Amino acid sequence: MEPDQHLLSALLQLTDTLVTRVDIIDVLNTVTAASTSLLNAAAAGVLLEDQRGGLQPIATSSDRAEIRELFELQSHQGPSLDCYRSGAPVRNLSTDHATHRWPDLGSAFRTAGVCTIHALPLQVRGHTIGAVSLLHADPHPLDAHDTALAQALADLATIGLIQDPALSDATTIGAHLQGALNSRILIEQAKGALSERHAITIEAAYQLLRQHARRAGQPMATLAAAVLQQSGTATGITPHPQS
Amino acid sequence: MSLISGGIRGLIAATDGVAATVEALQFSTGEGPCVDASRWRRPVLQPDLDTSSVARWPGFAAGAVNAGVRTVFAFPLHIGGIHLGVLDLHRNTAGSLTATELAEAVACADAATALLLHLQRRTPEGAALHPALADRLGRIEVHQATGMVMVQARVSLADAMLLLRARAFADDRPIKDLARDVLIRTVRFSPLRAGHDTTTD
Repeated sequence: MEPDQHLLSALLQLTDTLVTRVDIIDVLNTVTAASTSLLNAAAAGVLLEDQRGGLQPIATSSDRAEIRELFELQSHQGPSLDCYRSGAPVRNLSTDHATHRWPDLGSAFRTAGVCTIHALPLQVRGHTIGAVSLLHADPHPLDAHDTALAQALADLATIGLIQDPALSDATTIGAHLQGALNSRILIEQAKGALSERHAITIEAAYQLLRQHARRAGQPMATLAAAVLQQSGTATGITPHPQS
Repeated sequence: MSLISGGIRGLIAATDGVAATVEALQFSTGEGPCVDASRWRRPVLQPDLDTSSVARWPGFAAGAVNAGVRTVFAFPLHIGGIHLGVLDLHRNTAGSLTATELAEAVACADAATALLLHLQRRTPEGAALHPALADRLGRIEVHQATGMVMVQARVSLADAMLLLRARAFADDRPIKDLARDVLIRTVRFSPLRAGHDTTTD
């Protein structure tokens, strides 16, 4: 695909998700996937303020534990936290420089093969609520064009998170984000339950949940809650849907 | 301030009679911030019960204002699908929580969640504060493993978490390590029989 086609396809997928249903987790996962493909990042994550002095990852481009860890380690230190506190992007941070400032984090980046790190702020109505973290496996300066694209993707993530215009002050936004973070946990629990119930991988369980949620026109969290009831078999979620 | 638990279906603690009144109103009318917080799985902040909330909770709002309550902030106490209760904070003057107050309320809710989890059955003596069970926010592996154990052991989600915690405590190792073993299927939990906890490796 031509690069423009690629971008158009990613944007269409994102706006489709935003317009057709309110599913925060689906939007954020789509943003991380789009960030890796459009910006040639090895991994991308969306981190939100957690009301506990730090950030918590809510979506990551890979579910592999060693990749997820690179974002979990940024909870209380690192470029994403700097970005969140300042409200300004962090661009072109090298692993060497990261290691000077945050030895443990830098070491984890190096072990994972990360070379360059960026962070873009998630901002709504003047408040910074988190950051998008981009990890590259090569020396990868973000030029003006890529920076604008990365910020646009971050802005789409924010739109997905804060759809209700009544959410206007830091407190109501903060409370709303607590719900989003809990939805993520719900979905992870449901992935485990579906994986065990149907003898499928965790990743396949996620895809199953996502497909059924789209078909039902419901957020994944709602379906996940049903899966986790004792009588979860009544949800009709099976690996072989009828239609 | 009051703490209610769905599992015990009642008021656990209230700082004063007004708090108890607020909870009684929510139980009797079946509506209110804590009912919504439970249902929608997120905090519900109502900084002025004397305004638009009258339409939202007609029975509750009028009764609460009469009791001298002007604001209610309800925080669900949950870990994903594990719902342990709701923490309700109220004031007799209108006004929103500041950012600092929100952070403090969330910290209270965290403490209450840990307490309620500890009060569930099957938590061994001394386990609640064991280092193996630290890491309040948990790891994703722990949440995934909790879902798996729920199905394996045929217990509720809350009991699945407690089984994992009990096993981590018994083995004296971090719960996230146990969770990884569950995910790669080197550790399984069997359905409980007649009160005996059976786990197989």
